[in-house]
Amino acid sequence: MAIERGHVIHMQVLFERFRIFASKALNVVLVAVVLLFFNSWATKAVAHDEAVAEQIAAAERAANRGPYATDGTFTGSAQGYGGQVAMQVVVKDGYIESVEILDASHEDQAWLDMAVVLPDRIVQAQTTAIDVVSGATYTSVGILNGATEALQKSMAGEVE
Amino acid sequence: MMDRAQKAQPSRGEGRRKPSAAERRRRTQLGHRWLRYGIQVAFFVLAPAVFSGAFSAVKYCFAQIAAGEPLEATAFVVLLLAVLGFTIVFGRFFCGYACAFGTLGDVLHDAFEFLRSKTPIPRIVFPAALVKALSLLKYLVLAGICLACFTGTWGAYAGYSPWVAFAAILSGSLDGVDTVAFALLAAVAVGMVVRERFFCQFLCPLGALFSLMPVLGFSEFTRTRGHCARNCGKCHDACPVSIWPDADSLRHGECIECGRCADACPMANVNLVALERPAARDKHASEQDAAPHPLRKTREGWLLFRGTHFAYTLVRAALLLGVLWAAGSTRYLPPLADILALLPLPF
Repeated sequence: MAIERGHVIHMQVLFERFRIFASKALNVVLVAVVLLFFNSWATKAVAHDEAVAEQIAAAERAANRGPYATDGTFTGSAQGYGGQVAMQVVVKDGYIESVEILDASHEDQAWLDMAVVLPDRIVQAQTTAIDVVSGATYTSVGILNGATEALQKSMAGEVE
Repeated sequence: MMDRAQKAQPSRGEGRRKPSAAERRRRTQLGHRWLRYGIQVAFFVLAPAVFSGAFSAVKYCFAQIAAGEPLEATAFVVLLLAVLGFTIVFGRFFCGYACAFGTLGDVLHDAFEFLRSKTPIPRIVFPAALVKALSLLKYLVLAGICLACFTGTWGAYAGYSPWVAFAAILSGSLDGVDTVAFALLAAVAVGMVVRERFFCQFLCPLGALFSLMPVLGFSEFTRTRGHCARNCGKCHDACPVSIWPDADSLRHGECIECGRCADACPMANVNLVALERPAARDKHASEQDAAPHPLRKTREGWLLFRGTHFAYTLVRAALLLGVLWAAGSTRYLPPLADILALLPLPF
C-alpha cells in the first residue's frame, strides 16, 4: 500500500477543518456584505429625512417662542459613572440652541465616546427626556441630568 | 498491597523523590492556571466592561437596522470588531483570559471546588446529553435579544439583564437597578458555582457569537487522534467547556483557549500545531508503519507547537490588551490620542 490509513485519516481531518473554517468565514463575509449594502442605502435615506425635518423645525422656530423661559448660557452638573459630569446649555428664543459637555474627565473613554451623541440629540428633541445610550447608561444619565439642571435654571430665570 | 501503601507515603529518610509524570503534569497545569488567573485579574482591573460594551454593539446594529438608520463606527462597534478580529486570529482567548464575567465565574467555581475538597459535598455532574442541549441555549438567548432589539421591545427587558446588575455592583451604585436583575445574577452565580464556565457555555450571547467565528488553524487545540491511547479522555475531563480537542468538530467553537487539554495529555498529543513533515510521512509509508508509535512523546518528523507556554500566553495577553486599549476600552491607561500627540508625527 502506497498510502497508509493514518495518512488518509489525517487528510480527512484537515479537509474537515478547512470546510468548517471556510463555511464560517463565508458567513462572516456574507453578513459584512449585507451590512455594507444596508449602510449605503440607509445613509442616503436618512440624509433626505433630516433635510426635511430641519426645514419644518426652522419654520416653526421663526413663528413661535420656545418652551424655555430665559435666554442665556446655563450650566449644570450630575453624577456620571466615575464622578461629576458638567454640562452647558445655551438657550435662544426659548429653544435649546446648543448643548456641550464641559467636563467629563471621570468617565471611561469608550463609554463617553458612546454617550457624546446625547448633546446633539437633546438639541434635536428640544428636551432632556430622551433615551440613554444602551450600554453607557451611567455616563448618559450624568449628561442628561446635568443638562436638565441647566435647563431648570433657565426656567427659574437664574442667568449666570 | 503493602508496597503500594509505602510508595504513596515515602519515609523521611528517602530524601527528595523525583515527581512522577502525573505529578509534573498536575504542577504544569497549576502553574498555567495561576498565570491565567494573573492575566484575568489584570483584565478585570483594566478592562472590566468590555464584554457588555462589545455586545452592546450587536444590539445597536439590530436597533439601527430596524430604524433604517446607517450603522456608524461608534466606540462599541469598533470594540466589537476588534474583539471579533482578535478571535479569528487567536481563538476565544478573550473568553478564557480577559472577560470579567468569565473571571467572576472562575473565582466562584474555584472557591466552591476548594470548599468541596475540604468537605464531603458531592460533585454535581451534568450528563453529556444535557450539556449538549444546554449549550444550544445561548444561541436562543442571542437570537432573542437580537429580535427584541430589532422589534424595539428590548428596552422593556434591558433592565433585567444580569450584566446590568454586575455593572452596577462594579460601579458601586445600585440605585435604579431592578431587583429581577440581581435575582438573575444570583441564579447565574449559582450555576457558575456548581459548574465551571456555566454562563459562558450555556447562556452567554457574546459567546454564541464568538463560537460562530472562523478561527485560524494555529489557534485551535487539537489532538492527533491516531496517536491517542484507547479510552483515555484526560483532555476531555480537563476541559472547562466539556469538549474534545477536535478542530474538525463544530463543537470546537466553544474552546476558550485555556490549554488545559494540552497540559492534561500524558502523551503530549494535544497541540495548537501538529504537522507531519512530508519527508517523515514518506519514510513511515515506506516502512509500512501507518501510525507512529502511540507511546512516543516526541515524534520524529513532526512539527509540534503545544501553545501553552508562559511566553506565548503573555504575548497574546499583551496583544489583546493593546487591541482593547487602542479601541479605547481600558481604564487607568492613558488614551491612545495622548500617546500619539507625544510622538513627532508629521500630521
